[in-house]
Amino acid sequence: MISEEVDTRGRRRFVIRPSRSLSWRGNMAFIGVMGVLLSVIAATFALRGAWPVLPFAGLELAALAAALYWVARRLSLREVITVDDGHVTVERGRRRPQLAVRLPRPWVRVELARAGVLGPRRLLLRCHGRALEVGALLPERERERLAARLRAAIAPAPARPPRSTDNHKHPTGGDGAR
Amino acid sequence: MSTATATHDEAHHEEPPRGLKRWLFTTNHKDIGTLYLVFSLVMLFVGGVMALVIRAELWEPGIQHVDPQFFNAMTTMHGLIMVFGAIMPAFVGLANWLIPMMIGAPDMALPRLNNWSFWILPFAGAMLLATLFMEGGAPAAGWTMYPPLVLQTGDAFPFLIFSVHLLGISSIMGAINIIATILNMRAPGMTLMKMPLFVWTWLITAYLLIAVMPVLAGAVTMLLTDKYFGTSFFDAAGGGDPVMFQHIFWFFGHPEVYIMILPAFGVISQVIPTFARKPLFGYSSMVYATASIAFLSFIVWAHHMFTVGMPLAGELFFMYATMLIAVPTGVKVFNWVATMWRGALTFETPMLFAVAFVILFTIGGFSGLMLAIAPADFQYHDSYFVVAHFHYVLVSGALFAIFAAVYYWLPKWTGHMYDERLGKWHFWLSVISVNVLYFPQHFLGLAGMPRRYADYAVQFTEWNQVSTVGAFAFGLAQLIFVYVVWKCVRGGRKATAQVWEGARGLEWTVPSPAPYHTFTQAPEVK
Ligand code: HEM
Ligand SMILES: [Cu+2]
Repeated sequence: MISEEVDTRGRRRFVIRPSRSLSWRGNMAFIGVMGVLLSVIAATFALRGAWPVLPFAGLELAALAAALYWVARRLSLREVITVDDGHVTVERGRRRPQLAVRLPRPWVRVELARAGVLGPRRLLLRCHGRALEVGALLPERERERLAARLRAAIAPAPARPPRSTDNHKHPTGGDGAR
Repeated sequence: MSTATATHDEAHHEEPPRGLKRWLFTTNHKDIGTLYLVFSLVMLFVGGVMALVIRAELWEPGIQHVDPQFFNAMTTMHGLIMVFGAIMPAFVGLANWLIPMMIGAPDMALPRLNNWSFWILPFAGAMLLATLFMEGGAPAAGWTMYPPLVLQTGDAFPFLIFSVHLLGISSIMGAINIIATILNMRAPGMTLMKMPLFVWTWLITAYLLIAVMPVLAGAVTMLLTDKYFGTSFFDAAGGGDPVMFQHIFWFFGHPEVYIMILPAFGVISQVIPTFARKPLFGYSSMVYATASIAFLSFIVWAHHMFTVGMPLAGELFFMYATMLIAVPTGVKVFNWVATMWRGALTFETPMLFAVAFVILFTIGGFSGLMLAIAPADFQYHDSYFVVAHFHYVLVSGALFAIFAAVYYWLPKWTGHMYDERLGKWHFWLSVISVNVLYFPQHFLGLAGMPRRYADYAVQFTEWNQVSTVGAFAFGLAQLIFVYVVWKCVRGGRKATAQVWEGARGLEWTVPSPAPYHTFTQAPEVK
């Protein structure tokens, strides 16, 4: 989901995060329950001599945990794109920004491009021959909407950013975790 | 938060690329769902032909068409292929198609893993089928693979084990994906207790799968090491115990039979409210009943082993625990009937299959209860009565639910209505022939005819002939099904988005056919 705000200094900020219906804690609880169950099952069989159940149970639990971790990690990523008078700043990370790129606003172009035959359309910020992908965490349709909103925000640069035209503060409505 | 509904102008989204590459590399949940369903249909016919070989041989006493070893290979392969090749992949296919649409997610949580879990299947299936041509013949010790008999399999043995491993890996990957999707990808507002029952039953099924698959993997690995690496897990001469295999196998096997029926319960719980034009009676009790069935399925496995010589306390425990399952199962049947009660019922093909499911599955449940009576099971065990029981729950149960599901969602998948007249023909021929096929097997079993023999005593002839007639009629009726599906894919009356007047749920808010990418923005769940 995309939430957009304008701060007191007139900077427009887009906060982008994927929708997500269970926290990492919730996922861990599920892994824990499976872990206990699998351990009881595998240990019982192992005690009766059927120890080959153990490694399979272990492998499987590891696979489950890895898969859920991967999904949760992908879904906890967020991106903040700030547009001020001179620059477009892209920050990306989980708890704090792990990547921050500042691009000179007049040179930034917003582009939607298809990757490969089966791929969805990707949203790129191009600047001086370099390209930075944003909005990869969004479903495709929302990414297209983000492209339109970024285009409107970035170019052409007005003398002062419009303070009252856009709906200032979207209700952010939590991150969908429950 | 974006909360527009998902319907509007999604149609302009481009079509997927064509050709073989699309199907090999696709990560789209709808493509993968289709692949699973097509694979399952092919396997249904492969396994079906094997069943017809069995029924042809049993047309009269004596050995007619095949030698007993091959006969046993047919029963074994038929069981393995129907369980792992036809029923399970069909439900995974339905899960792939429907779960993301039902919870408002753009795709499965792990699309690439999804591609892998499908493509392992044809490979494993082909390997299993290849054993038919190996020195010593295909495995012939029954789908339960009991040692020491199974250890006498010829060259086919390691291939049997390897293909079971692969089929298991595929199921685990599918289950992990389904769990990751249901837990993390629900649209805002789609709380657990708002999920459609098909999603709920699959969540619990996936959990069961993850709990028991390592046990199957361990069991077949021990068979392998017993045969080739000098271990004696199941060899009494080396200090092992062949009965332990049965405990391990059925600890997997009993939950496995529920893995094959819970998603069917889910399907029926979607179809009946639609054609009764009433909400499902007792939604939350359905969820709790499903969860209790899953829980109980861990503590009843030895009802398959009443005759191996368990202590009396064990016989009693497993007898009563098994009977307990009838309680949540009864809750479900009650709720389906209560949903239909005073509903504005119509009987399109999906509903016909659903109603037949409720009646015929219940017959299978009752014969299950008879088998659960430990002292009685000493007579019924390994007789045709058991065969009748599990075919009532698996064919007129699980398979009928799959038919109901296909007719119900086919318009959503293809954008066309299927031929209702032919659908009804398929239904009536199936429902009559399935009873001609399996009901006499109750009589045969009670009269003492054992299962898994190519020959039988003359007094069993008549009912066997009735059963064989039913089998061929049932087989032929399924050709109608293939034709209906093929015809519907090719064309037909255009389906609306809602398709069925009484249909409720997110999948009915997207156009028919469902666009290649659905919910490219999160839908609103009220
Ligand atoms: C009310 C519920 C049920 C009860 C009480 C029940 C009970 C039993 C019992 C006691 C047996 C062992 C018979 C013997 O070998 O002597 C059995 C066999 C079997 N049941 Fe059920 N059952 C129930 C439901 C189901 C369902 C829902 C399925 C699958 C969808 C199923 C599939 C099977 C299969 C496949 C076998 C035979 C396995 C084999 O030996 O090859 N049952 N059942
Ligand atoms: Cu059982």
